[in-house]
Amino acid sequence: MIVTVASFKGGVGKTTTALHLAAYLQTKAPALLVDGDLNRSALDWAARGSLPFKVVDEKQGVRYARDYEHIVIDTPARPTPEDLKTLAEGCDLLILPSSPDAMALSAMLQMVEALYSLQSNYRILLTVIPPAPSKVGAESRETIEKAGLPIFKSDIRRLAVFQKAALAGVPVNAIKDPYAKAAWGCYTAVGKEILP
Amino acid sequence: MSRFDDLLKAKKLKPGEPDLSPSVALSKSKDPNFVRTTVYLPKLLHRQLKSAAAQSGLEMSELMEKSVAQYLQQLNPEDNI
Repeated sequence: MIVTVASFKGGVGKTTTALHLAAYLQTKAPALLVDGDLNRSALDWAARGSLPFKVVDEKQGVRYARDYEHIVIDTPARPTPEDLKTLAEGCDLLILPSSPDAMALSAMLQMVEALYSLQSNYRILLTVIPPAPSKVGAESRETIEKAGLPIFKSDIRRLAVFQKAALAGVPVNAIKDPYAKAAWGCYTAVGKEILP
Repeated sequence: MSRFDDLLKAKKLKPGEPDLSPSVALSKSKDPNFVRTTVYLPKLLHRQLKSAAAQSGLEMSELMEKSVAQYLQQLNPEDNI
């Protein structure tokens, strides 16, 4: 299965999502994370610590792709129209992460518009959801569902343990933190929606 | 043409399958099936080779390849080159 994570806006948890979904898929079958972001954030993450799956850039990926059952592709913010077309049509699932704020949501809707003319199977993932009493998560979900756009049932919460994990170079489930389990639970829930 | 074309093509291959042909033909300088070599040619012959290449639209390399292969063939007709 090829899963691509893309968004027009940075800082919405693209790399975090790609990395944790790769970690989830790895529990099913060998997974490869392709860091197509020119910032190479996923490769940096991997270099700082150790990840339970292989991380390569898109050029090396050509050599490894066939040997892995699952490929997760992290993309740059603002992918070129060519990249977007190739990825949208070439992958099995395109994930559009968005935080529940006006700027990220409008960037996400721009992406949905760009995908309109392409044949793609995409789903929106709400990320960086602040804890109660804030209701922005639920409100954003309602708006998206009302617009009839495909969205994951599970959200990704805003938890400091994600930053901790990035710093340590491991996925959140390898961090000792009271919230590690909750954070990992967010992504396993999403993972189960993709591949039960 | 996107950076991800080759990646998505490669995923379609089965493990152990040989590499796909790259979407753009490799230049000879990068193709592992070619080596670069230096030979000394008389100036005139070199000039003739160059103009023959220009006239036929082929590379000097291709003309050299053909003529050397031809030469070796007639030297040892039983060898398959």
